[in-house]
Amino acid sequence: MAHQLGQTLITISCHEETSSTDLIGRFIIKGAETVWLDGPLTRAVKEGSIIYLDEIAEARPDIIVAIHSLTDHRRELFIDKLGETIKAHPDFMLVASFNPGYQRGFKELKPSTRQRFIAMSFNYPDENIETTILVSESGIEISDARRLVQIGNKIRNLTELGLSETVSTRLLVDAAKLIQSGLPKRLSVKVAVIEPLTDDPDVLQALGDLSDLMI
Amino acid sequence: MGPMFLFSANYMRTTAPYYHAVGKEVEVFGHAYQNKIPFLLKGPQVQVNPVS
Repeated sequence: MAHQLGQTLITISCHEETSSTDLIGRFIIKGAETVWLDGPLTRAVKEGSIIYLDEIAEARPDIIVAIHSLTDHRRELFIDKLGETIKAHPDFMLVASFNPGYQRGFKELKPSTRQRFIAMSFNYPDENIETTILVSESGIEISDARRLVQIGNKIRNLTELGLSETVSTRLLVDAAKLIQSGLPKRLSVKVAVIEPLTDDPDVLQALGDLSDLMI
Repeated sequence: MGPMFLFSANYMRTTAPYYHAVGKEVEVFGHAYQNKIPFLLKGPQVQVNPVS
């Protein structure tokens, strides 16, 4: 979308140590002096970029506080270390993502933060679209792409295995690329799809048997 | 120490990345951008049934 809109996109992959300092900026020592270095959020606010905070629920709470004033009518960022408030460039836009989970252990966004965004759910693409994606991304034969998608969907439905992450389209694309470059199909699925999902020997065996039956 | 960001034209992608829409997301995003409304993408639900 950034490309289509002719906008710069800045992506930040948030994790549990990502703090507002990482996004807003910090003082650094340069030679004999201390200089201020804008973080990616400050830069995006000033220059009018699209900033994408991937996995925002993983970030530290101070980030959520920092973006609140950017997500309502004020559209401004308070830089506490400088004691300054800057108004967002008219082209600035904030995009964030997270994976909702309804089991313990998955971080959620607070309702007071969520209601500052419009939101869309993204589920896995349907079989035909995901097959098209695999073919487009890897050049693999359509019949092999469809088999990979079927394996992916089968594993996604095996919730009783207790996998904390399941098969992403990205993993299927990786498997398709390996097959396209000549790695045997079963080995491609094993290393690109199954091994990244679990370390449990029984689950590895079960998923391996399943994929060997299907491809 | 968090990540430092190097902004350089050398790192900017100039070709359109491949993307296959799965719904109305392109249209919705276009309108969100036009109105500069923050946009939240909710990924697939992580369904975990603990092994008993």
